[in-house]
Amino acid sequence: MKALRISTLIVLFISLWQFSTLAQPAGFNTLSDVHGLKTALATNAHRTKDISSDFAQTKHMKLLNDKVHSKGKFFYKQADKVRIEYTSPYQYLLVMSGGMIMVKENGKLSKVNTRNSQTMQAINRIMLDCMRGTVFENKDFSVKASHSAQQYLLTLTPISNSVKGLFKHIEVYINKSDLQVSKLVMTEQGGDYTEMNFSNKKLNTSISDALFSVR
Amino acid sequence: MRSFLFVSGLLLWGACAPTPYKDLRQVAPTEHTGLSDRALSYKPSFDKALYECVVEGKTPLGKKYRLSGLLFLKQFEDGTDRVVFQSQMGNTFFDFGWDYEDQFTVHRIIAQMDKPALIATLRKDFELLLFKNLPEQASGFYTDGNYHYLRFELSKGFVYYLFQNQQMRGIENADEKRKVVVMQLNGTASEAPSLASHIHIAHLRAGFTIRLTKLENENSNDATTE
Repeated sequence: MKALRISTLIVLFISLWQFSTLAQPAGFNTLSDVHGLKTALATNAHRTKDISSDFAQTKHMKLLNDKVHSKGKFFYKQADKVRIEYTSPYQYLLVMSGGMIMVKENGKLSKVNTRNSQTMQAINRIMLDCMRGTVFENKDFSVKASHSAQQYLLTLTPISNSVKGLFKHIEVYINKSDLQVSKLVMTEQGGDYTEMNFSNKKLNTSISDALFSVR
Repeated sequence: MRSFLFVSGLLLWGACAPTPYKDLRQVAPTEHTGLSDRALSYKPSFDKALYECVVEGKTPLGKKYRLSGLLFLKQFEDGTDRVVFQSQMGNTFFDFGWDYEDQFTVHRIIAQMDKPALIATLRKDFELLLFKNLPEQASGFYTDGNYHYLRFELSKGFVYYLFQNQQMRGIENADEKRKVVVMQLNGTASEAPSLASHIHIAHLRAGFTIRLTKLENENSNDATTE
């Protein structure tokens, strides 16, 4: 009986150890100085007036064992302006500004007031938080910080119901060298995930406000 | 007397109401049309296909709505099929599947779309496009002088596949009284059954349309299968 109990404990210990290992991507360890990172991100975000970059998006469909690729341009301007412009394989423009989301496709413009849509509000907030370095303040998620030699990783797990249905978790990869977001990985409840990789990033080039006005 | 006249009027109106396809005339099968009467011979064969998808319509209260995204279709070697609709940013709206015996499964659907009537409507659209759950043999060939109509009986109503010069140009689902779904197909290959590059689906009763435009790009050739 005692032997059975010990073997049960060993199995339980191994399972928990495996779980904790799986929960953290390889090469990343728990960050002890979370406060230091928060301060560094806030300082950096204050200095970052605008960002322009390219992005490559890949949707990984687990059960279909397949991927869908797309790419485009990304722009951010302090304090709440984001422009995501898909250029291939489809033309799709999404602009977030002042609590509104504007979408333009095939010449048609539609506006969404994020105050009326919890889901859109959540997405709007995530994108802005990533750019403004305010991820830790987002009340929709609990945030776990880890790091590797090159990067910080913030793992966001949904708390609020409005985002629980959308995501299992979101991973934000931040370069240690410039404290800029290099990759976003949004994982759905079913296990499918979308990866957005940012490249050719340019900071503080005084990008025009006109980019965030869609007609 | 007044109610008798009212009922008679209704019956007369019903009798005179236009029925779709009343001008079609039946023609002898294969030798006149060059078309097969077997459903299996039209089943599109493809590895995977990606479409830009726009859904537009009006709610019963008259409010307009619009939803756009990407529709991904994949056929597996074991005879199963999957249809996944997702936003441009990657969130899955729904993921439908059919096994090798055409048994339907909803693998995933967002709460806002998880309505039995909507699922049944979308399921029927894809089953008509992919030739699923149809009788093995057509019930007849018809023509209006312009198109050849291949008719299959359904559990409710029937479906006509419209051909011109042996190329599929449309799909129409109807009952004896009126058309329910009208699909226009453009850009179908003539050599083998394939998916059209442009598909416009009009749901005449439900009051919404689905526009599909095939995306020819790295996703069709280069999408990595792991």
